[in-house]
Amino acid sequence: MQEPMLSLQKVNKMIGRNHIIRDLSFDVNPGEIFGFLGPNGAGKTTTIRMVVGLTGISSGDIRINDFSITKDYKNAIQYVGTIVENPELYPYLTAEKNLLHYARMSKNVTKEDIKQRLELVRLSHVRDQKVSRFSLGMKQRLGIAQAMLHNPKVLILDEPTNGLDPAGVREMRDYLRKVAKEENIAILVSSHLLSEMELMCDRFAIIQNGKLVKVEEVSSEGQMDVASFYRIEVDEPNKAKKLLLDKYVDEVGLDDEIIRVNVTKEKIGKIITFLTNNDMTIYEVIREKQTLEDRFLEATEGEVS
Amino acid sequence: MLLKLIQNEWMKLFSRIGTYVMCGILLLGLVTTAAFTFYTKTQEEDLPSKEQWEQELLQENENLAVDEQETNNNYILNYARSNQAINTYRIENDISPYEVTNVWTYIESNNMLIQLIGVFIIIVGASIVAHEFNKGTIKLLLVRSASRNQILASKFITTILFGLFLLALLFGLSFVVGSILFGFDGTAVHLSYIDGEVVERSRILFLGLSYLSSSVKLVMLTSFAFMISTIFRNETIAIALSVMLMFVGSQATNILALFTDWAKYSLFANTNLDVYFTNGPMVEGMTLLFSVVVLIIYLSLFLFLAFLFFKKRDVSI
Repeated sequence: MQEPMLSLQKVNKMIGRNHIIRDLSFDVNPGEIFGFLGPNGAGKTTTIRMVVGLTGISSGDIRINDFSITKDYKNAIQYVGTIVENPELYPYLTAEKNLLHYARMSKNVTKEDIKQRLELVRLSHVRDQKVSRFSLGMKQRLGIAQAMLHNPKVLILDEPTNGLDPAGVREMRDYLRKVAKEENIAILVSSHLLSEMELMCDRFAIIQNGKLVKVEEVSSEGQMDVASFYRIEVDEPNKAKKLLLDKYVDEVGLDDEIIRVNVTKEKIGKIITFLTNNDMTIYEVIREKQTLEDRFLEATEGEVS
Repeated sequence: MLLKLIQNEWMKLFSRIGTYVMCGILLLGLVTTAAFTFYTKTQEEDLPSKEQWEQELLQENENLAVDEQETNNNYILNYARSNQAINTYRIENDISPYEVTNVWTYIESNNMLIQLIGVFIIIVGASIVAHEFNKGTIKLLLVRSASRNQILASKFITTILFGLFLLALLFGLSFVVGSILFGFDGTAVHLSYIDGEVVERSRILFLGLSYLSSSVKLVMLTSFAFMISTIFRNETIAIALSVMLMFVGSQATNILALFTDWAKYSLFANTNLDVYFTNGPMVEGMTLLFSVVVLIIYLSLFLFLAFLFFKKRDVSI
């Protein structure tokens, strides 16, 4: 097991009498994209502000590459690249000067690095244009270039796909997946766009009212030993139901001539072979995906009641 | 690190249109005073004769002597004494108070443009922090390995440097324009009254000193604006308060000085360091050292408060 790159340890935040964040703990590992989900007002942005040191922590600790953000800020923050909410760039500076501005604030960032990052986010052709003339997508890309400029080990993005068009969202997703894998960066992404997170993240945490509700792997249901619902369309559903009840499962649903079973991935393979061997024609087998949205609602509703 | 931060601030300052507008207005002011001075300039033949100005000065001295008798205000007393002494010195040494317009009189008359510079650097000082908060760029500025102290310091230093830049621009251009249009004819000495004696000084030294001492007031007002805008994050309040102080501060202090000696501890009794080289201070017993100490205390207080608030506050925009 590798060391987590970002680690929240029993973090609490009080503002006046309000307990905004309660005992929040989770880890983000190198090379993974970690989704941070929650309804509006759950404390996502506050948490992100604490991680990057914009806001103080009432109790607990946040460690970045094992440096405490409260006690060893300078060492901790040098590993962090971030976009907090919108990409906050200087509209009256050109793209290149915006990057130059941040390059001067970090060690060992050369003009060559600026050039490369601009190329990577495909903004080389507008490097001498003022940012005020950029589209939101371009600003967002420049924001990413800014965050990646000093080769951070942790990337922290607050709502990175806000206001992007579908093509922009997809591009952002592909880019983040690429840098996570190729540069082995730990990425923390907060969002309330669940379908988006589902496609982007490896793991996710759900928070509500400042408390962690659950941490899960996005793709857990696709694994061999995890049960899911499968729908099977077959030419003789009644016969198939009977055979399956005898041999494989305790419960078989039959709805509108379609068989529905709850089994593991391993078992569904055997079922398919079994049915075929019994001279039945299988037209279609579909795994019913439980979407992140279902899981999110399930998790947050349980919390409310 | 601090140097690079200042470089950044300078780059941002000079990427904004407002900065060029300020420089433009200053140039416009210079052109206006140049044109005005050019059309009203005094020639050799306009100068009053020796008898005429001697008569004037004697008359003035009589009036001043009356003032000296009647007043108990230290400032007026000093003014009366020093002007009498200087007038007498002029008569004895045949130095006319009138002279043809030359580069020095032109630079001296441009002294009032320093007020304009004052307004400009107050605006810069008030907006250099507030602007980052308005645009939200403060967040990306703070999540780097520069400490908050360094960032605020770089902004303050940049503001002061900008003020010096404008002063140098004004002085330099005044000199160039003045020497081309008006030439160097005329007396090159400046008279001042120090410790009961009239002293002749080189004109250029005096002008340099007076520009520098005007900038003391600017630094104080800028620090004040800087503090207000850092604490309240509102450039409008900071600009309004500081500009108001700039225009009424001295007068208010003068009035205060009529009633109480405590006025000497007020900021504006001390910003005008000129007085120690010319007419003497507002309240008796003040010295240059006293004023410098008071100024340093005020400056430290303004900056301390600004840094304190900037460091402590959670950034939640």
